[in-house]
Amino acid sequence: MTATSVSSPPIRANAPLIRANGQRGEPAILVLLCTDVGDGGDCPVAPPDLAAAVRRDAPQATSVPIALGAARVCARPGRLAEVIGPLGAHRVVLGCRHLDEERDAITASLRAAGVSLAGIRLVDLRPERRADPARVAWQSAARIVAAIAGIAHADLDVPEREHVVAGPLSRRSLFRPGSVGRRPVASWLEGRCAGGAECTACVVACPRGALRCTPAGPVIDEAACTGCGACVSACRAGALALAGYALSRLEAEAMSLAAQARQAGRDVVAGVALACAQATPGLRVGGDWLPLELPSLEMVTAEWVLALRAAGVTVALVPCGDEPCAGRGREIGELCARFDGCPAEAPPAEAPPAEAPPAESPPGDAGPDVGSRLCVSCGQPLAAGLADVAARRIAASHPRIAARLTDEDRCTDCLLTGARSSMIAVRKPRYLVETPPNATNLRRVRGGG
Amino acid sequence: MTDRETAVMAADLIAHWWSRPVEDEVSTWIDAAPAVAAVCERLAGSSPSPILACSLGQVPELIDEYERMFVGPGQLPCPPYESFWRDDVPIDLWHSLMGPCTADLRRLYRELGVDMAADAGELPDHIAVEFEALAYALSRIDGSEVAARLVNDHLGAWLPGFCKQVTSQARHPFYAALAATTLDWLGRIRRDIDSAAAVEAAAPGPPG
Repeated sequence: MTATSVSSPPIRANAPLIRANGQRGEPAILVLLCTDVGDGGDCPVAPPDLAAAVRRDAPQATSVPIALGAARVCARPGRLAEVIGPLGAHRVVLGCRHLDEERDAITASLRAAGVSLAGIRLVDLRPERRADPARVAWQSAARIVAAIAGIAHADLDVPEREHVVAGPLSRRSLFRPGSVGRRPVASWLEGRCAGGAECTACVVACPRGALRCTPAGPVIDEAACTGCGACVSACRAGALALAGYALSRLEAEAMSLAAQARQAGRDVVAGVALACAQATPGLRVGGDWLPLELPSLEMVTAEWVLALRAAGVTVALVPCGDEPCAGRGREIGELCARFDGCPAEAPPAEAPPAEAPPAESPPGDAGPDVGSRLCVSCGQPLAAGLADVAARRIAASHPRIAARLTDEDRCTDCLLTGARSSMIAVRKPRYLVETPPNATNLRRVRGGG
Repeated sequence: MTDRETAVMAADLIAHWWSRPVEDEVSTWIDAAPAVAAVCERLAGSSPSPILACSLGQVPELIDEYERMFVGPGQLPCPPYESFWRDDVPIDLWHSLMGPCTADLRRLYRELGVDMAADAGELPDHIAVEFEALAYALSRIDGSEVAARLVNDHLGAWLPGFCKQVTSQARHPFYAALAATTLDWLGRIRRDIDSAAAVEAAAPGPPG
């Protein structure tokens, strides 16, 4: 079966190629956009525009060959395998307006074509009602570019492990491949674990006690694991992974979304929403926010939020209705509010059962003043500071922040911040050390301004 | 990344690159090439990142070249110290170390709330120390004035001559590229600082 045998209009498998220097068998990214994605039946992004956007906003992805096609894949998802198979793509970005109904069938078809869950990025492009078409087109393109940036960094070595959600399953659903009840659970990558029984970061991070440490490494109770990703972001060595949610992919996608949001300005998009996958259907294209879909907010660390805000965008947290997810959203919101006195943004109003992070610090919980320390994000003096909750973990990846903000004596090691973020990194000072602030110095600096 | 964050990272990178190469750190920055590329891209019109021109296998050569150019023994083609290059001092202080600018820098650092580390192993007017201080000043909300003085009174005063000398003397492409990048990035940081100062000056002052 050839690539052009799919339903009309046929996928343009050989054209246009954004970068066509990939060798046969080399991992390539196939980008498929539904033909009804744009208004009037056109792609929202003309291929040359998409190529330019990828080069500008996802420069790391341009080293990977990218093929772009347009096809009404959701109309016949069962035949997707016949399209992908001959192309040999291991990474697929698929933008579609009908993912709600066809997600499972599309996933099953891609799997049949040999694309593992780790290499699939499905982008839901269903627009909001009465949204401005120009805004819909821009946001669709932004989401696709971010997905390309992310999937170029996806970790394809993560084995697919799935767990059927406990709960009512209809007899009919059992006959459907890739039933809606399935979702990934965490995998342990043996060669990458650096700590063995010494490091218990993943065990401590798991809110359901699904991990335990043995001398050979962690053991995952797949029945108890809900695939929330908390252990994935806690592991310093990248030894825990969730198929389809590689940290490197999420970070690349987040930074691409941030870059595009910043370029577009607040008139077009309010910022980036870190959203639980269960809540993302509420974040339609054309709204105020660009969503980054996560398995659950339990995966989010405060460091991500701070890094995104340091990159100049507003961040919203959009939890689903589950208490652990919503609770984590509240924790991060509180931490950020206490961190720099700048309240986290309330999530989009349309988002389903989203609970707003608190708009300001809890009264009476401000902690002692930390003197002249300043927020690296907004430059305001810290009221309570990251110091009293977390910062030893940041010290590993962000020496400058640590030098400014860490108070090891007050760190409660609460694991609210993760250890492993490459989104922000500044090298450790080599020649200079901070001197204790004294009144004379501060007065001279401030008085001179 | 905001403009300010980009400037901090750029100054930090330059401080790192003008320090003696250490194998572990070079590999760290090669791993971080995307972040470096992002800084290069944001500082529009800048020359390509010099770290991309060198590879891990070249670290011994880089160290040799660094020591030949900036450490010695013997005559140094390009001493990386500001006092050596300043000619706005009495003629008997020309081409010598520990001049008036060294003391001035020390004062600036103290105003900023930092001082030389006991194990720094360098003089306060070494190019890497000055850029590290610039990164620190830019990272502080109250460091703008010190950053402007560092750039205008110090770095801007001697780097053009120094970098020209490095370009003509370098035998390793890394340092020639680094000299060009340093001047490019410093120019960009300087423009940012000047425009921020202009905005501040145009803002209405406090009543009364």
